[in-house]
Amino acid sequence: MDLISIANAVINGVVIGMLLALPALAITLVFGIARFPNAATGDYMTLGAYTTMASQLVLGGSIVAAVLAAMTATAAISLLMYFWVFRALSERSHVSRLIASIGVAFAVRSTITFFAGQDQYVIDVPLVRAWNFGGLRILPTDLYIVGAALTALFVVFFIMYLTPTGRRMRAIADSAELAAASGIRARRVMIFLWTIAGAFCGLGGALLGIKAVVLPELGWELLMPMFAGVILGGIGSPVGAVLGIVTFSIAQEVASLYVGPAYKIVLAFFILLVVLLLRPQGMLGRPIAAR
Amino acid sequence: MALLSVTDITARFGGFKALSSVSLEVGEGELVGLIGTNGAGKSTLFSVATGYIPAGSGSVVFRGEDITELAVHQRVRRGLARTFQVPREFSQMTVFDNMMVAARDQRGEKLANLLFARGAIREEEERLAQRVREVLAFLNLARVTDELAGKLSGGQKKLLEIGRLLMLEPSCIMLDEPFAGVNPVLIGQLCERIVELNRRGIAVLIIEHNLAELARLVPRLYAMDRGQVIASGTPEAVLADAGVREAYMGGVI
Repeated sequence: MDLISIANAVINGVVIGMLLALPALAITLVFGIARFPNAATGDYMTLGAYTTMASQLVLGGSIVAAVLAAMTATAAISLLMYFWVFRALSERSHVSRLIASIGVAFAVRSTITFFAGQDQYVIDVPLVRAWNFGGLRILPTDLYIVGAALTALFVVFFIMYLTPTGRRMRAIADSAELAAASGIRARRVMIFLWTIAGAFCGLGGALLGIKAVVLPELGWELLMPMFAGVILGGIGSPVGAVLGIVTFSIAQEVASLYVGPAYKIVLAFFILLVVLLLRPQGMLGRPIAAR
Repeated sequence: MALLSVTDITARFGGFKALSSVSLEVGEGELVGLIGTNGAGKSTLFSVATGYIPAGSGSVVFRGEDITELAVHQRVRRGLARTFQVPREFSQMTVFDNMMVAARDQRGEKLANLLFARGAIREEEERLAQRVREVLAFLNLARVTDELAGKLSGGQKKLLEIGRLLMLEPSCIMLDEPFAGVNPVLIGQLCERIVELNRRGIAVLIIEHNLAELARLVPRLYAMDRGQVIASGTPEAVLADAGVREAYMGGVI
């Protein structure tokens, strides 16, 4: 395989990885703070893609406005599901929340197909030509996607590590019991968490819809790769989630050169397997401590 | 009137009666000890008073307000705080952040303020940081300010717990075996700190197995056995009590 094709595959992997880093971060934050693997993450993305399309139809015009509307709508649904479903289960086992989240996933997807049907859609964006640097192809759209993802990631990392709200989020993730003993109101942090998780899934889904096509299984099918990326990076580590999913996506894209797109996910999971054999806690995860 | 009154508290774990009709009072600015053999229900009583375990019956009144039904964080915000038998810390956060996160009444907690009141937040953060540094110096933890709390020694974690309590600006603190697993030199230091806090007007209730140390520290003691308070009064009186001796020595003496 020539170097140029590999380089192009790497670039493509980085773009997809940055895009998926948004929902991956949502997964890791929800896992760390609300303490369950949220299986509805993928369908929140799907919702983001469809609401982008819908708001474009209704509001017309600007793709930026449509994406912002999609983020708002997904955040609102995410909050609604917290108040309606996950809050009631907060004292129960994490398995009950996981199973509930699978139900939420189905409910969200079915609601979408009820209105939009099973057809595929494309989001209306201006057609652009790829820049060609001696065989290295870069799409301007991809740059916007990476730019939007990086901005969103920057905002959340800024909040997490440099503000009092973020400090409280980290405290609850570290030890919920001690956080309560320190007078931290979990409710407020939870509202913030689910807003961010929803907005990020919405943005990720919208960007993916722009890059590919919009269909009802868009997010659900990405759930396993996203969890794999999060595990690869080290569960509960926000930076790890981003690095993990980017690594996983690059592996997938490069692998598809050799084994074809149909089997790329197999090879990517093989890499996951090898990393976890060597480093069970993931790239940046902490070793599972006796608690 | 007492600062904290626990009245007729009963708590069950399944069929096991961990507390049966326990009553206890801590006065404003008082220093009180609580002793008892393992399994006597001391820590359970702490957990009921601070809201970790619901009371089966009875009431907890703090500063004249019935707090029996309140959540843990609400009691903390009213000024009733505790430490744990096995010291706990936010292990992945620095000592500094461990302290900051416990500070009361932060405006930065509201996200809207991050956007609209940046200056005020920065000022408040600086004021709190100043206070954190003072408390860390008071506890001889200044050297480890930027270490991850999980890396501290057992004794340092005990001090950090007390530091976190102080950031909450409590009026009553409940210390669960503050001297357990702490080296003798540090025990002396801890005692000094506790006395100093008490002198500043904070009421203290201490569970401790180190009876000699405790008797020197507190003017008043409660003794518990099998989920009940069996004696209270001055350390001399309580330690001389026949029931207490029986519980501790199994009636050998």
